[in-house]
Amino acid sequence: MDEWRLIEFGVVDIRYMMAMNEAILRRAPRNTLFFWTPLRSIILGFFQRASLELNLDECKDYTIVRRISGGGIAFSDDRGRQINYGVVGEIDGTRFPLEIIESYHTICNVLIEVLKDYGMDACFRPINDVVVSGRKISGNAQTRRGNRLLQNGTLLLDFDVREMARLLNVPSEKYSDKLVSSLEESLTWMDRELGYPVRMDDVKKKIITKFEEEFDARLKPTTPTPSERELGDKLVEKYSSPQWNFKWDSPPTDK
Amino acid sequence: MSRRTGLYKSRGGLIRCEVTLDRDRIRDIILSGDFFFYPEDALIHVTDALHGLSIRSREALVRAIENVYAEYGIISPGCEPADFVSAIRDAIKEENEGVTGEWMNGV
Repeated sequence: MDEWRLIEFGVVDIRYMMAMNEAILRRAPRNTLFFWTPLRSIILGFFQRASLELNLDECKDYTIVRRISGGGIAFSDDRGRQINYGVVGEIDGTRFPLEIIESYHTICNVLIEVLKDYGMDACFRPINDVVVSGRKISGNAQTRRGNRLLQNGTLLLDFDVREMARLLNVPSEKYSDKLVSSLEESLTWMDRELGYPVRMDDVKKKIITKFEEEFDARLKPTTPTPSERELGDKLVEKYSSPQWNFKWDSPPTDK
Repeated sequence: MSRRTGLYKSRGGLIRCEVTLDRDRIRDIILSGDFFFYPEDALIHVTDALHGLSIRSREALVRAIENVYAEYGIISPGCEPADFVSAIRDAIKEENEGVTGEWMNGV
């Protein structure tokens, strides 16, 4: 059985975590599963423009970053009631399929099996969602470099829909209430489905177990290598810069 | 010339378009949104290919994007070249109302 890495970053600054995501993708010595807990952060997808997606005036006490994978906004508040994971894997065609949606499904299967263990009607909704009774409980985003993939995702334990609605760009006031009910209708979280606050550590333990089963690998707890840390430290500047985070908001050059 | 914004919800995500026209031709264009597109840094080749093209022919716009897809081996799950063109057309459609200029024929 292969031995892969398990890294728990705990509560981290999101800029540092974005840097470590990229560092692990580029320098991981072997396949890795990692977790972190962001606070008060908004992660834009690679192709998103902050000024179009967000009401920036309302986001002043949030750290906004843009990640290297596409997809939509990952928002986290101070409650810390969501599990954020990352997987870096070699696209070997067996454990990690070459076909993109299939590889999303393979990794999301871990979360689906965990949620089923809790008695939830969970399934994969292509391209990148895990849904429970039709409502999204986990969003995921994947990027690839050479023969490696990096997939990040969130699993919601609790979620403040009103807070997210406050941060998003809506055409006018009258759409805010519509947005809240639309989000309440399309999203869900574990506490809501279970009717009690689930223990995050228990969920993480299940994720680790299911991951090992899914990939027939043993996860060994460890920390980033010196090489990963070195690159991560260098990349913090990138993820702290407006040029990167607000890239698509730069005025186009004259052609 | 004014900047026009449009959007289109493809299966793979929301596509936003901001375009500036010079008469019927694309002068500047920014595509953004929550879609997935691989490799990520190839989207610039799509916008480069669209510069200077006329918005009169939907087919020509789709073909231009398809050519970029073929050249760079682009994969965008749930999101097709035609979807990007739909976002562009959405950006210009409001300006169409009441416009009788000749270049609007066939748009």
